[in-house]
Amino acid sequence: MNPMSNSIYDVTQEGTTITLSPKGQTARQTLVFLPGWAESAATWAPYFLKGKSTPRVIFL
Amino acid sequence: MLTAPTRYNKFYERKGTAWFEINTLNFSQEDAHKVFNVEHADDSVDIVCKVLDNEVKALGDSRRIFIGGFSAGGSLASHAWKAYKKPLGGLVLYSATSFRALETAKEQENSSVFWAHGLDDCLVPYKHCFYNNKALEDGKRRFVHIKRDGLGHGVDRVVELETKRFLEDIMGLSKL
Repeated sequence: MNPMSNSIYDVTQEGTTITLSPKGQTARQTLVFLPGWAESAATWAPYFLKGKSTPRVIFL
Repeated sequence: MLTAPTRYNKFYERKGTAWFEINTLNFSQEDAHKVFNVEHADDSVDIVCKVLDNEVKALGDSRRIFIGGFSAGGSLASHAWKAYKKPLGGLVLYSATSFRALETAKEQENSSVFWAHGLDDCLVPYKHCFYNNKALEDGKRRFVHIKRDGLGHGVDRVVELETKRFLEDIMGLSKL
């Protein structure tokens, strides 16, 4: 398990891409999110993790 | 590669991950399209659209897919949203300008837009983005605009909560 996972989301990392998947349910929506200049997926994943939102989120 | 490639940027005078080369941030309302290198942006849009295609296959309905981004990532997201040939659920823009000159695909005519911007953003000034982003408010689509007094180039808890509300409302999800 990724150390960033929490009670809401499972977190998986593939290369530089990070995906947040809601625990125990099939996602009903997906947000594909593009970080800003000189940022990475890791810059934004914590922001959505603490927000307790429920979409699947893919950070490119 | 699914993430933004690393490029030298003459504006920042150093390398960094970037969806396109930023030519200048000294843009006016009318010439925001000069901000980016169009060729780079088109290449990046192709990458993003492939990711969108995969998600459409996974969820089975393109209207369940949203695209968004922060700053330059938001601008590229708006570019991909305008170009994508299947109706998306919506576009989420944080501290970013869309590009008015780019034509919006007819498939997005009912796709919703969420735009959040700090009024104290010195890097990508709110007033310079207003002209481009308000053009997306055409009376047909749901357009949610959050402007935050005292917020610079970034997001805050209010933006986070409003984003959550926007996504839930679009999908008709019950409140958590």
